[in-house]
Amino acid sequence: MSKIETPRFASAVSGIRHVFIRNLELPAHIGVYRQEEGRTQPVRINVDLATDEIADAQDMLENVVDYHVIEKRIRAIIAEGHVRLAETLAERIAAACFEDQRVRTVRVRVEKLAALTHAESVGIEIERTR
Amino acid sequence: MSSSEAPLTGADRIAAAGFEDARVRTVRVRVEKLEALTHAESVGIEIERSR
Repeated sequence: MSKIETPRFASAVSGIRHVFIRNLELPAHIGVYRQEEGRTQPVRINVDLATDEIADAQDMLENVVDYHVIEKRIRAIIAEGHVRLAETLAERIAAACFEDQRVRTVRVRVEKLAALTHAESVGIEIERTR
Repeated sequence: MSSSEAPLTGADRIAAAGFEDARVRTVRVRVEKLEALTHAESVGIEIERSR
């Protein structure tokens, strides 16, 4: 599997905690070509969040951004149905991440794993900041 | 850690342990959970702490 270059979001000076989901692989209805209609294909999703740091999270889930919530939102977006572009999927995921007010910056990478026979993947990556 | 201290997250505890050596100025800690999500390689957090 290709090495993902991880953004260095964590920062003591800026008070940023980096929360991430690495290589989430799900079947998705995606693509513009006829052979991509009516079936799923595997996509790989990477999400990196720059979130407001709390000096002492007190080991409490409500004090940090919960990756389970982010994953549920990603699954819900994919379950909405066919999208033509990976870009669309990435934008929707980024928007869903911003529903948590503590998220300042989102980086989303969407890869299609079966798009090209002789390539491991094709994909796009976007970064959005409030 | 004294029992009166509020509990810290795992990454925070590791960062604090790094600062026990007085020569350490900045610590960056990444903690990944490898079995948290069934269809993901990992989830995790990264923090940075400076004196």
